[in-house]
Amino acid sequence: MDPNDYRIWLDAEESGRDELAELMFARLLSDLPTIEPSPAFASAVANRAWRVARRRRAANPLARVAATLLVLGATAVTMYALGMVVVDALARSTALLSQAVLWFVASAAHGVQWWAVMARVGAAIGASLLTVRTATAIGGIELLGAMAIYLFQRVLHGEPHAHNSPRVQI
Amino acid sequence: VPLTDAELVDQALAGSQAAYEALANRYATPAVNLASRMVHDPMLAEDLAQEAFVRAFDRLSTYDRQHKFSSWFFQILHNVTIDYLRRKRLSTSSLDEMVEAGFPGVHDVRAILPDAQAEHTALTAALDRALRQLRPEYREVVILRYREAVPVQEIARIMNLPSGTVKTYLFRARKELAAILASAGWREALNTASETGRGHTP
Repeated sequence: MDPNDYRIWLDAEESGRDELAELMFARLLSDLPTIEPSPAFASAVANRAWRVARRRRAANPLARVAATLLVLGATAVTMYALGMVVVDALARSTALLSQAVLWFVASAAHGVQWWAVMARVGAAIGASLLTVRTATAIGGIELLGAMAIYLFQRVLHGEPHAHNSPRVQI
Repeated sequence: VPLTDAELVDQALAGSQAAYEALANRYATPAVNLASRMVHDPMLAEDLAQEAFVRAFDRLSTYDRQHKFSSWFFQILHNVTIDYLRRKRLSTSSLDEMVEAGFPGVHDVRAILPDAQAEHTALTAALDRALRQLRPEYREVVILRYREAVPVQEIARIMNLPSGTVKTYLFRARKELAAILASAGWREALNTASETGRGHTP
């Protein structure tokens, strides 16, 4: 390659002759030194690929069993926790309902406006149902579910894809 | 008759390690070249290229034979490289860093110009180093298009960009490289050499 090609390229860029500039630039780029991989590169690649595949094949059934056990465990815990929450909520609701009816009748007799009555009843029900125990149970269930889904996705698809990036979905 | 990429893929899927080695051998140099120019480190580039080949093997069954194997593989290499650059926040070299690393500026040029071979070597080195100053996506399109002769449409597929954007990147990259070399004094020095008859004339 002639070093004069650089001058022609830079002049073409300067003067806006794009076709010539691109042609010269392509010639210059093709002249850049090639970076050769080490001689054993391809065989190292194939060896590693085979090793990884073998390891994955061996690990996959174990991972599937572990993920299945986790999902089953999470489901059992969820059912148990939900059952407790539902029973608890039913008992509280029954007690509240009887009190609310009495309170409603008494308030109506005193001419309290209907929306004030509803607000009072709603607040009482909310305060009664949203206890620390209930909130903890629901949060725990959501967390377990998310973990189980994530693990299942990892096991089934091998590699998670990072979104919000210029990576290409293959 | 050498086997096609698709035939090598089929053999590799059937369990032939030698077939995959042949496939890796076919694309080893372009892969290491591209990765090396993206991360500025030949050893690390080999590691990234190797990682891309391992991932490609892992997903070999998903390779669609309607497309070129090279495009599919370069997509994986693109992802591996982008992930690395993102983790390391390694994107461009500043001009100061380049000068420290031996980027030839105008003073070096004047010392070099009398010797045509040295001039050629210095110019090639200057262009190589100027590439480092480009944004990674510019660098990637330039290497794929002008070093590996990948068509614009294929580059667009590899990088998941519209073809128009690839063309814009190529244009801007060229302009930026020209500006970097000109600001380092190369244009002036080359013109002077041409007028005085030193070095090479058209």
